[in-house]
Amino acid sequence: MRRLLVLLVVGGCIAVAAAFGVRSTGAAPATSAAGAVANAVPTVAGADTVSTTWYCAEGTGAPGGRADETILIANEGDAEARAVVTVMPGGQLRPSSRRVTVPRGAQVRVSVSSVLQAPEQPGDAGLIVGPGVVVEVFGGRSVVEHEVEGENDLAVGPCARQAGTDWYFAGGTTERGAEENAALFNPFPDDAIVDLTFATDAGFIAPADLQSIAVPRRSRITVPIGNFVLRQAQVALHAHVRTGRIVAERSMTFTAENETRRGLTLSLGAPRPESSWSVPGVVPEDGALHSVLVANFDPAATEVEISPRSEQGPSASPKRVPVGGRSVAAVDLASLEGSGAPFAVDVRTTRPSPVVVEELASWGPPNTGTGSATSLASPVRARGWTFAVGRLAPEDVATISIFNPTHSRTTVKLLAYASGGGAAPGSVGEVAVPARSQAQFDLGDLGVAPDQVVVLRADAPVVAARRILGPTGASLALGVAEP
Amino acid sequence: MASGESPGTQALRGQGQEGGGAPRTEIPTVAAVVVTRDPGPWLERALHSLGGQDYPSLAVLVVDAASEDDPGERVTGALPDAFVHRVPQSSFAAAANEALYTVRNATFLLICHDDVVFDPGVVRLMLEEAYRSNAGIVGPKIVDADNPEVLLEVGRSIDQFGNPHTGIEPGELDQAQHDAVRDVFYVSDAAMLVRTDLFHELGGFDASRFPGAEDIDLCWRARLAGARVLVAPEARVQQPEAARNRGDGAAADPVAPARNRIRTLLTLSSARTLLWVVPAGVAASFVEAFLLTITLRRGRVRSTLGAWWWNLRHFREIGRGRRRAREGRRIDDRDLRQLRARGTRMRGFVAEHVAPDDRMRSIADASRSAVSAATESTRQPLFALAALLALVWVIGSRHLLTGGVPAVGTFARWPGIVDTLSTYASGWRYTGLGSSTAAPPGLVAMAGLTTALFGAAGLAHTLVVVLAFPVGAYGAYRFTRGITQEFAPSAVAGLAYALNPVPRNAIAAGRLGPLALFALGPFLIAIALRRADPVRGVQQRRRTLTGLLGLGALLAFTTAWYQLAPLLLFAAAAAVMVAAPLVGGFRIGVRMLVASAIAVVIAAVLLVPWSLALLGAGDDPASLGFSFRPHLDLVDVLRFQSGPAGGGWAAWGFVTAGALALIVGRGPRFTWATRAWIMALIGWALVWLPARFAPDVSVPAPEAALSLAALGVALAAGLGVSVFVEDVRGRSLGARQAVAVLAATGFVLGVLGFTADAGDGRWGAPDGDWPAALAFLQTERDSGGFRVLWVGDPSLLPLDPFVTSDGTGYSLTRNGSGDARELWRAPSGRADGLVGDAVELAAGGRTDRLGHLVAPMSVRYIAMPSRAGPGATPQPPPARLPGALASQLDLARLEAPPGLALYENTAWIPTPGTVRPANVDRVPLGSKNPTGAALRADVGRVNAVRGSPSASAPTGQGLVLWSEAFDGDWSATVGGKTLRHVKPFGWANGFDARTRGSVSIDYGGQLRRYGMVALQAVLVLTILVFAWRSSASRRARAPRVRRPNP
Repeated sequence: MRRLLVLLVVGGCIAVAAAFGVRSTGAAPATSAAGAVANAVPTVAGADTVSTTWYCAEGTGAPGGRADETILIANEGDAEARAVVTVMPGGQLRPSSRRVTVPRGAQVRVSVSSVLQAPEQPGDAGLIVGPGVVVEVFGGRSVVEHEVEGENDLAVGPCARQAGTDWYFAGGTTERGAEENAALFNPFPDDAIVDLTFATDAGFIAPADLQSIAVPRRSRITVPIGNFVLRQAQVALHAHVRTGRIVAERSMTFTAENETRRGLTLSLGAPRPESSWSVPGVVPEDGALHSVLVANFDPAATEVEISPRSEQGPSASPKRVPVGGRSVAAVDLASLEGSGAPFAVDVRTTRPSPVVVEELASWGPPNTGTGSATSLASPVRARGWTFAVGRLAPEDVATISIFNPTHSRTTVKLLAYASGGGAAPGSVGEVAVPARSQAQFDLGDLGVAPDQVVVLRADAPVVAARRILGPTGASLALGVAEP
Repeated sequence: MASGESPGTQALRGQGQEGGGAPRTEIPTVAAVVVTRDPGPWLERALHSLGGQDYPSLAVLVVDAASEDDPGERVTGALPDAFVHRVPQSSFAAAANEALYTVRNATFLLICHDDVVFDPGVVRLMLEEAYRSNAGIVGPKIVDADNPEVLLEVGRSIDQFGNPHTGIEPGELDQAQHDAVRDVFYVSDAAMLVRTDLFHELGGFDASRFPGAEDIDLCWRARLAGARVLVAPEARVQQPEAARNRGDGAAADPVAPARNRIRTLLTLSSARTLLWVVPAGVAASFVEAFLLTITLRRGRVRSTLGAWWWNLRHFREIGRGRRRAREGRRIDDRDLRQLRARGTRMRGFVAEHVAPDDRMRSIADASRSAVSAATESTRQPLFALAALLALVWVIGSRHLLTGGVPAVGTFARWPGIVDTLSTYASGWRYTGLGSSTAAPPGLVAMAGLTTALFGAAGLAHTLVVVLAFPVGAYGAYRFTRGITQEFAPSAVAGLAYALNPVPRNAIAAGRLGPLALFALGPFLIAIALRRADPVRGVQQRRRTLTGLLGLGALLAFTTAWYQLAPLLLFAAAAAVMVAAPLVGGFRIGVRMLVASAIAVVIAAVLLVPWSLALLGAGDDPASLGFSFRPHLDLVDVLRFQSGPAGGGWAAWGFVTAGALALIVGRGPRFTWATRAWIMALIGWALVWLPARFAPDVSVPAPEAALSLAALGVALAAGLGVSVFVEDVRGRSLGARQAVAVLAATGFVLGVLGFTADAGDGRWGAPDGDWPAALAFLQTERDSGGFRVLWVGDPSLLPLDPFVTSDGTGYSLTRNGSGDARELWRAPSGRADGLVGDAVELAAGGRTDRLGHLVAPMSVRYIAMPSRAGPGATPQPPPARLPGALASQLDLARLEAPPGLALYENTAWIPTPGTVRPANVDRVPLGSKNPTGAALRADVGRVNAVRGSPSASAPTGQGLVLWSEAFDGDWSATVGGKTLRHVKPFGWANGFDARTRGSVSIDYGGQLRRYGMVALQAVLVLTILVFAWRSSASRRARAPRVRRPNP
């Protein structure tokens, strides 16, 4: 009897432990939603962050450059922030910094050329050496965007919060009259080695000259892609870093030689392909061309389902588009939605291979606005989005579009800090967005001034993008997410 | 019975009368001096043999040293012509010296014991040889009286430390292989022929050298006087081996022989010889004492160390003896060197401790018994298995033995003795960012072991690691022996414990503390269990007190290596108490618990002031070893697979073997098997429960708690042997036999697992280490003092890491990859926490300026290992850390071997370093937000102060930064003028140097530290003396009583 009791106790302990052990098996470590968002798009740092670094790769730092760059720093924190803007010109020049103070709720503009005159210079093997900009903000909850201007157009978009080892761009082109430039910025104190490969509508290209590109420490090089990938209508780019980490941005300049587009575009790359993307803020109108580029960097072919979402929800049947392995597919959005109302586009893969999706738009006569713009679609959703600037000039038509990809209705508030800063943003608008639908705020109608920092708050995770269209140019960009 | 005249005269007359012919005055007279006291039955045989000598002029004098019964009648009955001379109670030497006064006209004296049987021609042969070789002293060949073909002695020698040596292998047969007349260092006084004039000149034996060295002393002095000492092997005598040490008086005072031998050595050696003999002899004695301590033979420790201590205390008396010896010295020590033996001390030690008998015996005896026992044992399968496994152990440790232990984890390289001791005596602890807390006594233990090995720190380090197997095995053997009183179960338990994967995994991961706990833990539990006996009477109380002091001392020693060692004792006591509802013995558990608590108090006192520092480590449990978050599932825990070792399923073998006693055992075997299993369950639970239910809580290294489980399983496996013998064997075939076969198979499986792990020759430890891979760091010191910040999984980091709230570990080393001086780090101070804050900020993506944050700490390099060392199994670092480090704007990645990400901090500030006067205002002083201050500060270029901080090369004006945690006792002077002391960055030390000159930075708390070291020494000595006296008193009053078999 005593033996039985002992065996029961000993065996029972082990059996109970085994039962608990089995129950614990298979519980995968949870990845935080905030972490997932931060890994995909630029985000607003937490309030406890002591310093936030933003990397602005593309742009030129001398008057008359092809993409004159201005940094826009917004402070959404609880106190005045101190920022250091460092221009790393590359080559033999030493970096130069400027300290600026950003009042609470305010927006500060710093022209790169005012910090350091850093014209682009020819580098090795047909590459170009130009300035990269690092903005360090001491204190959390800052947002940094940069504006580039050239070819009678301008583009504005968030700088990167993280460097990475892979960057993907879907919407490039090297057709006649298009100059595509990839800016590879290495802000770190050790060199980086980068390989560039391309997925085009004609297949995969890996130019020998663009393998093992050395990006020296604290410098930026620009790759004029048209010199290496000749005359391709769709050119998707993958920058893979063998050693080190970089930030990559891409700009395109459409010159007069181009048959359909004019202006300048700017896009931050995607750190990885995803299986689901959202493109808010497609506004069909006269003189506007909207298309989405779907790049598949995987050797295996895939297929995507493209669904338009208007203000009333799903407005047309999804369109299935095959995308070959290491290839790009271009889809004209005008063919998707016939109502003429603004809409969003939901892109999902139906096969395992993930893709990268980017929007390419251009405006011309008879539209009052002119210019071209690109914007990476959003692979994530968030309850808050911040824009360092709502619109660039009083005469611009600026809208912020919100796409609600969830299955429930959500309310979205548009807030704006007072011009010159303030303690808290004031509400300037509110809209209810039905499930799987989109809505938009017209910043002009709401009286948002160019120097106001704009914040968007939603009850449920949404996707928000800004469109600026005016006589000075056109721009498309996602906001900076607040996970 | 003759009396009144000298035996020499009597002999001459007697022979003349019997012969009736011409007087034989030319024949030298020999007087045999037989010393006896309470003679045994062998006396008559010895006297008969003297009477049977073929030498005509032999007289016999029997000196009786106050026997209780007068042996006169027995002497007369055996040898009517013998003289009997009774003296008051005296030693052998003093009694033999009676010949100086009672023997006249004898040319030679034959001094002998009363149990020596002479072959018929011995006296003649010895005498002939004495004349032929002009010898002063001649000895015979001595064989075993019970087995005359076995040699006991053909002359003797001594080693460098005065230990006797016969040159005869134990059990060596007499095949005339030593039958050459030759000079020897000395001959035993069992039978020695000595020229009478020489004996007079030397003053006979020095009675103070008895026991143990009277014959050595006499022959040595004869040698120094120019006389030859020979052995004449043709002359053969027999002596009962068992009686050979009867005259040593060992039972009365076991220290005396060793003490007298050393006294002789110190008296008769030349001064030049003593210069190296004394330190070497003391060191060798410490080694022997250490080995005796860990084998729980404390009485022998007393004799080993006490011999030297006594002689050092009586140095004045020895000095007088040396002066006398110097007057009679005619030859140099060098002339005697070839007569002395080498390396017999360790041989003697091994022989003595392999032998099962505890009695003091001569080295030759011990060796002989040991070899005899070994010969006997080799016929037993268990011994053969143990020998085979010992061979596997050597093979499995071969690369560690030949190449040293890789500096992985806490296996940091051991520095030299001076460095280690100076670190211990230093008032400032150079771990982390520095601390004024006491240095750990583990450093003293390291220095002691290194000293014992003549400064071979690497060898000492290797032996500490590799010997954990046999020491642990012996501990488990003793533990089980204390329970079962049987050899075979204890031996099996010892084997099962040593073959458990726990020590292999501890070696693979570089965990010194848990390894020490594995080795010494069984001894601790065994003693605590012994102290759990009920105490009755004064004697037992005295013994208990001594035992508790011993337990406390051993616990202190173990805790010096591993701070959490006391928990093992409490866990073992808890196991007994938990098992009580099932099998009883609650009081045993309670008494164990009480004994453990008392031992902890004693250990804490012995370890003062370090123990006081540990009490203040509550906010930093990582400094106590709570720094691991092992990802172990239940199966891993149950089969002890906390690392690469274990042999997969083979580790289940010992668990299976332990089941037999639980399933089949009866009576006390079942009782103890239950307690063993509860012990194992508690050990497993201590590892598995936190891993399963609190994975975010840092716990001690799993090998520590698994040592308890391993001991429980080993005890159960050992009891299985007893169960097999008592409860299975001889019974009809059934389930019992099936379980027994299963258990035996399990044991074999465990053995196979151990054997499989032996293949790599290093028990899974990496084949290299980061200090070797980063050897270039040693040269970087020229650019200024710096630190290396190691971040990553705490189980992969060197030394004893700090741990942040998210489980990320970090440790700091100085001017390189660190060494053992930085082990047992001081508890985290405010400054150390700043490093953790910086690491957390970087890992959380909340700063990209980690380099700036740690620059004031003089962190020049940041290393993130993803392996314990080159070639080790990779383990992922904390998820966000690699990306976070790669994102830092002020860290430049350097080339490093696979498994290590190495960054150089481009914002590094050297220590000590001088901030230029123009930038002094940029250094934040007394900041309440050190992190923010470091982030915002731009102090420009900081010039390294060259040379030693206590006497630097001339440096310029400015603020001298000293990156140690701020302490008011730090001061700096330039040209004798004390500099203003400030607090840069809110935590460091800064000194305002207004003039150029050599800076001297000193810590003012050094005298305080010396005082604490002295206090600690006094405490240790007090307790040791108390324990010593208590133990000696106990031994003198009562014989030892063995514990009854439970």
